[in-house]
Amino acid sequence: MSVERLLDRLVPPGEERGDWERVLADAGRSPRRPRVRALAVPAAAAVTAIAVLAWPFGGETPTVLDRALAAMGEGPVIHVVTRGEWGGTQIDFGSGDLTPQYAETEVWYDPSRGLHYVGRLGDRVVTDHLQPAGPAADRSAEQYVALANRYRDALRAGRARVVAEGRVEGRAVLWIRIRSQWLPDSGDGKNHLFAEEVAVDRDTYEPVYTRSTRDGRAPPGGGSLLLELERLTAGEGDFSGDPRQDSSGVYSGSELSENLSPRRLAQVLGGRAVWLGESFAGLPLAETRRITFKQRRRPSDPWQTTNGVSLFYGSLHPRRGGIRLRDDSRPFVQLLQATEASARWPTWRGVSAAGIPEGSLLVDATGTGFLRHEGVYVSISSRSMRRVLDAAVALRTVGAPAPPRTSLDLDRIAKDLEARRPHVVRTEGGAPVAPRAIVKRGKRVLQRGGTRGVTIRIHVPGVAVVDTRRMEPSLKQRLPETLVWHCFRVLPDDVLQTGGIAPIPRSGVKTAVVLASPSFRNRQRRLQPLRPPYDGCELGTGYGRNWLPRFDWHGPLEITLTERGRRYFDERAAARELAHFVRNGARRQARIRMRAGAAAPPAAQLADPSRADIDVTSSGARFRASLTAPTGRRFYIEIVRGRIGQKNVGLPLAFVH
Amino acid sequence: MSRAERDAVLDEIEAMYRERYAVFLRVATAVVGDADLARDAVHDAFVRAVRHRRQFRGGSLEGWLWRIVVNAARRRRADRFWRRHVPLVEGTAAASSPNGDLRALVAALPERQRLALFLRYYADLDYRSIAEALGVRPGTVAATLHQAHASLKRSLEAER
Repeated sequence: MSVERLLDRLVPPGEERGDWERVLADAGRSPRRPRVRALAVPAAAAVTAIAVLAWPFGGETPTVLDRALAAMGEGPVIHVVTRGEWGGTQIDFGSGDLTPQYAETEVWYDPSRGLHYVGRLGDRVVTDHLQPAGPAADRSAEQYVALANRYRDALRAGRARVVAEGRVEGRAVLWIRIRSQWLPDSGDGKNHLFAEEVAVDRDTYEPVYTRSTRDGRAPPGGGSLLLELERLTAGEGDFSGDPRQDSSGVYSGSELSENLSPRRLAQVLGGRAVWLGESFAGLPLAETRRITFKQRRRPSDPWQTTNGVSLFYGSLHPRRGGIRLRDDSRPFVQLLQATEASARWPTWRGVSAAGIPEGSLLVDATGTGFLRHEGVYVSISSRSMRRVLDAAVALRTVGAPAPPRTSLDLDRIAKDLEARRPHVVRTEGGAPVAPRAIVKRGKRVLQRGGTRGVTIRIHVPGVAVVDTRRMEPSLKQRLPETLVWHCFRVLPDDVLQTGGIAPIPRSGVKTAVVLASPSFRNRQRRLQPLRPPYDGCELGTGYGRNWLPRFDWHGPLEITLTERGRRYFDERAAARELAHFVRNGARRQARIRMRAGAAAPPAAQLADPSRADIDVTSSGARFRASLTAPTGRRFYIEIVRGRIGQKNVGLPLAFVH
Repeated sequence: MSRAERDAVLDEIEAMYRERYAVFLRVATAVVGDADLARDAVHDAFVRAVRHRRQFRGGSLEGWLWRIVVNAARRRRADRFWRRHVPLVEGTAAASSPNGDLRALVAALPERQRLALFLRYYADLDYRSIAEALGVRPGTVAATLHQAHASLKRSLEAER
C-alpha cells in the first residue's frame, strides 16, 4: 500500500460544509443562538429525535457538548434543584415502614428579582423564602451561579470534554469534565488532576449530577444530584417566596449553662421535657444541662434565644480543672430537645427537620435521629443505630411512666438501616487518569543545596525536590512527624517572598514540594509559582516560644542557596537571640516591674555574663540591648516602660532593627 | 489594521471556511483522532481567527489559518482522554474509528512529521504554507516530509 492510500484510508475525504453563521455567532458577531429547551418533552426517545431534527444550525451534526449547552438554555434566570447525595430514612413507628428521605433545595435566582429558596425534606416543604434583589441575595446565590456559569462557560468555550459514559442511579449518562487543574500533592510528589464533572442524561443532555474528582475518581458522597439546572429567559421563574421567612445570613449558636436536677428537669420546657429515665441501657444519666439555641441577624442585634435541654447518658472524663467533659469514646446517648425550632436546630442535611411528623423518626448515616414527641423537638445521637432506635421508642415526658414495649422488630429495622448505609447515589463510569511526575527525569538542575543529610534541588520554577532519606538521625529525633517546607527570596528590608508551604512526612522521602502561593482570579483558585532563584529553603518551625537555642538560634534545617540567603539566616538567628534575650531572665523581671511604673534597672543587672556578646544600656524608663550578627550588621531592641519600643514594632526580623 | 482591512480579512476567512471546510476537518480529524472533537477544533479555530483577525500581519492567510487549526486540533488531542470520547449514537462513528493498524503506523511518527504529512496530503499545501502552519522553515518541511515518507514506507513494507 502506498502512503497516499494509507492516509486516504486513515481519514477518508468528506463533504461536510461547516456552519459559518455559528462561527460568527460564537465569535460575537451576531445574536446568540436561540434556546431549544422548549423542545424537551418527557419521553426521552422523542426528545432525542426532536432535538436532532429541530437542530437549528443545519448542515452539521451537533456534538454532545452542543446539545448539553442547548439543553441548559441561555437566559439570565438560574433555576437549580439539587439533592444532597447522602440520604437517610424515615421510620414510621406505627407501621414499621422505612422510607428513604432526601433533603432537596430548589433555587430561582434573578439578579433583578432576588433569590427564591425552597428547602424540602422528602415531600415536605420545610423552608420557603424570598431574598429580595441585592448583595445578600447575590451572595446566597453565589454557589448556584458559579455552578451554572462554569458549566455553561465551559461548554461554550470548548473547555468541556466528554470523558466517559456511565450511569447515575441506573440512568444512562455521559460524563462531561467542565473544569480541571493539575495540582501537586507533595505527599507523593506527583501532580494530580482535580476536576469538576457534570453527568448529562444520554437522551436529553440535561445535567443530572455533579461531582468533584481527583485523578478521575470521585469519593462516595462527593457529589450532588442535579434534579434541575437550567437558565430561563427574563421574566420566567417562581419568585413567590415570603421575605419574612428568610433565615439566610442568620448568626446562630448554642450555649450550655446550668446543671439541672431531675426535679428541675420536670419543670422546664413547660413541663414537657423528655428523658429516658435515670439510666438507659446501662448508661447512667451523667449530665443534664440547660441549653440555649441563639440566633441573630447582625452582630449588633440582641440574640433571640430558644431554651432547650441537653441530656447525656454515658460516662464523663475525670474532673480536670473544674470541668468534666463527656467521654464519647465509650457508649453514649445524647438527647437535645426544645419546644421551638430555631434557624439552625433541628436541621438535617441543611434543611430544617422541624417538619418531621409525630410518631416517626428520621435517621441518617451518622447515627443521629430526629423526632417530635408531644410537640417537643428531639435529636438523639449515638454511635449505635440500634441504641438510637431503642432511645426513640423509650422516650417519655419526665415524670411519666415508661412507655409499653414496642411490637416493632427493632433488630430487623436496625439491620435494614445498616444495610442502607451509606445512602449514596449510585454512580458508574468515569475516566481515571494516572498522576504525573512533577519533575521529569533528567531535567536540568537550576539550583541545589543541602545540609545535615537533607538535599534540595530546584529543577523548574516553583518546584523543589526534597530528599530527606539520609537525614541525620539526631536531627530527625527532634522534628515533628510532618515537616513543612518553604523556599524564599529575600526582598529589601528583610521581607521574605515565600513560595508555598507543603507538608511532607519526616520519615525519609524524596518528593517534590511546590513553591507556590494560591492566587484568586475570577473567583478561581490558581497556584502561582514563586520565581527562582531562591535564596534559601528551610523547614517551617515554631516561632517565638518555640525558638530553639539548641540550634544556635537558627532553624533546625536551613538550606542556603545564595550568599544573600546565608546572610539572611545568620542575621535572623542574631535577631532571634536578641529578642529571646530581652524576654527572659532579669530582663523579663525588669519588664514586669517597669510596666508597673518602675525605672529600668542598671545595665549591669540586666546583662548576662554568659552572653557577653550582647550589650545592654539603661536609662530612665527604657533599656536597650544590642548584638552584632556574624555578617557585621548590628541589631537593637529597645524596651520602653516594659514594652517593645515603637521603633521595633512591625519589623520582620523578630521585632529587631 | 483598519476596519476595512479587517472586513476584507473576514471575507477571506469566510471564503476559506466555505471552500475548504471539509479539508480543515479532515486534517483536524487526523490530528485529533476523533471526528466530533475535530469539528469542535475547527469551529474553535475559526472563532478564534475571526476574533483575532487583526493579529494577522499579512503573508499567507491560508498558512495563518492552518496554524490556528492545527494548534486547536493539537489542544484537543492534548486532552489525554480523547480516546475515551463517546461517539454519538447518531454521530459519525465511522470516521472516528479508522483502521487501528494504520493509525498505529502513523501515530508512530514524530509529531512534526505527522502534521507535515497531513497538511501535504490532505490539504495539498505547498511547502511554504506548511512551514507557516508548523512554524518551521520551508527547507525543514521538505526534509521532514522526506523522513515521514521513508519511515512510513519502511513500516508498510515490514507489515507485508
